[in-house]
Amino acid sequence: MNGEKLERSDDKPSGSGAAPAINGEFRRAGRVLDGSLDLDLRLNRVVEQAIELLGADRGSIMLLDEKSGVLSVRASRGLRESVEFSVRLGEGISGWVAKQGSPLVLSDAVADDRFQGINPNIVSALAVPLRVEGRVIGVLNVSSSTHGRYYDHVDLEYLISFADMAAAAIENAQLYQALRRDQEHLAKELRMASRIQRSIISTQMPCASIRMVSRLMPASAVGGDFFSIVPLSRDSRFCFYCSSQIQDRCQKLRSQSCPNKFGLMIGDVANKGMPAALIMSVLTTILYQAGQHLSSPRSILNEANSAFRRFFSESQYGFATLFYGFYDNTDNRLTYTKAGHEAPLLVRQGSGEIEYLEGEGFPVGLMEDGCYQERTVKLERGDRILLYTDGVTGALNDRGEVLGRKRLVELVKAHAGEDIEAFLDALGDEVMLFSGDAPQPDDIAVMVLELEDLYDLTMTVGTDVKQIRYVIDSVLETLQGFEGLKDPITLRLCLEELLHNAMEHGNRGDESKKVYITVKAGPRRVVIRVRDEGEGFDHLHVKAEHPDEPTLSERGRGLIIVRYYADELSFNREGNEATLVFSSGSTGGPET
Amino acid sequence: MEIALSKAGDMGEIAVVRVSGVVDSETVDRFGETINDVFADGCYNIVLDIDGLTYINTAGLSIIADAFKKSSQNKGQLKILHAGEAIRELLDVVRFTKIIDIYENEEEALGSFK
Repeated sequence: MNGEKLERSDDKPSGSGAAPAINGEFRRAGRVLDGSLDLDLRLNRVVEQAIELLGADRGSIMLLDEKSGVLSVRASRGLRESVEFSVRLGEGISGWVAKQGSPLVLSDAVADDRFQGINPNIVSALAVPLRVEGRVIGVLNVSSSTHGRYYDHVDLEYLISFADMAAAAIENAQLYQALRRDQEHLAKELRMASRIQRSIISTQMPCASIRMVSRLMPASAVGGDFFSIVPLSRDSRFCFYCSSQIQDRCQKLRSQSCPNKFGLMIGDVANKGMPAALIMSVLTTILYQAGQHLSSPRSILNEANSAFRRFFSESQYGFATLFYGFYDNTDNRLTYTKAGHEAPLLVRQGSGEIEYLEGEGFPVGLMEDGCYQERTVKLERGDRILLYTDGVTGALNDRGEVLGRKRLVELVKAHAGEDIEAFLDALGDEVMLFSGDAPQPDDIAVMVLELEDLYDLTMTVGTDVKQIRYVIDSVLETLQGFEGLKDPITLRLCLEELLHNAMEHGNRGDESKKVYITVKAGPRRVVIRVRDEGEGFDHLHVKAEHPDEPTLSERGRGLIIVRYYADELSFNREGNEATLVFSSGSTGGPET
Repeated sequence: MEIALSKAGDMGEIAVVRVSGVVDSETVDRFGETINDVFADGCYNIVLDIDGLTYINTAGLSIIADAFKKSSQNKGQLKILHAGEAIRELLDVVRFTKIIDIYENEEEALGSFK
């Protein structure tokens, strides 16, 4: 290409007749471009409009990739397939137009050498740069094959005006597309981050006598609130069981962690969203590690405090509130340290009173000396602890009022009689009810623990039916006053049936074999296990009697009775251990 | 467990077995023996009065089931009298109430054999 870019607007007839109706057509063309923000759709509309405005036979848009300096056809009408779809900047007609930023009119393409070999049918063509704020983003081409239709400078000006409008529309669509791509990418990252954050939080409860339920509701995809149950390694310093002969029993659980102790934490990193989530992930790691080698909550918080200050000395998100405790299943004591966190609520099962697990200490990361102190509280059977972050008490309603601790305590008292799962659901519902349509302002983390067993009994008897009454009397005596079993007939029938099974069908009357009975009872649940030393029976193939037939076979009758009265009856895989569960409220069959 | 056997009916053709307390692994044999005594006597019409029976195990239920079968086979009948709420539910569970008549009134129970 050389300098002669506009030429031969001589005496040949003007092609498009671009004159009086121009304004009307232009406005219409502009409106068409206003439609969808989809880039491809918009590019195609620009080409169609350009062809229509110029009475052309074909048209195309090439967009410039600034990095590679390559122009590629992104939309076209009427082009032959053989036409090259991309050219480098400076090459060919479009390349020249893009590089120079100048338009080009070819009035008589047949006579123009530069068109040789491109398309012999082209009679006249226009190529104009698409410019946004002086920057060339592409080239708009139209051409005509109609003999006698030669484009002139009026046509060119017309197309230049349209191209300016089109360039802005294309740029908008490109920006929108880029924005949407970024947003989708970000959303995907957030979803992954959210999953990762949830995987950091461990809710595996090693102690059989503690039940725990929890909810984590960040205000956005990720947040700074967290809780975790931290397994503590087997260590005689921690655990009587780990240091004694009973260790054998521990090891049968095939776990590295001690089943009688665990660390318990809940915390709230200042601020919300991704920054808080990043700090939370570091903090939980520090706490987890500290729990593996330090033997008191106080020393763990001291270490967390100094590590936090070391890691985040430059950070503006400079602190986190925290509650950290060691629970010891052997004496039901919780030893805890508090770092500026909301006091957990201890709900006493016996009196219904609520105690606050208060304590001194600054939030982690705030002061060089956090002044952490330890306190110990002894749990009684049925007691519950509610741990929460200030997203609960800080819940706002649409009048701008906060929920507050006083209201929370009232809610806790109102629902204290419910099972912890229902209790936590009810609290969640109440907080939502309070907030109404107001958006959740802060992350929320809630955890409820309950020391479950009220009674605990283990017995071993020989295979002797005369022992059955003794076992049943002992169990009934243990469970005396247990509200879940108003009707002792129920328990007696089921237990007697299982003991008979164990002795007669399991141990086959072999007096040298034993029967093991364990009873665990909570305020709302009794679990009884009866195990024998037999080879196990194939409980899956005991045929159920027809429901309407009187059950006259003794064995089928026994199972029907147990299944009727117990809330659950299950057998182990070997078939030599039966587990009976009675839940409160239902003493078995329907009330009559 | 308290258990007593008496005769009723114009010709003493009905055996009335009154059992109360607990029928469990320790007492169930005695319950079975009493029923067997009735059959040994050639009597197959039985009124089982369980007023005051607080518990009966599955072995005890088996004895009732066997007694019902045996009396039916010998053209007699077994009736139950005075079933308390809990025992009544248990009899329902094992479907005995579908085959054995249960009475609240002793005269009615005795009259049902005519």
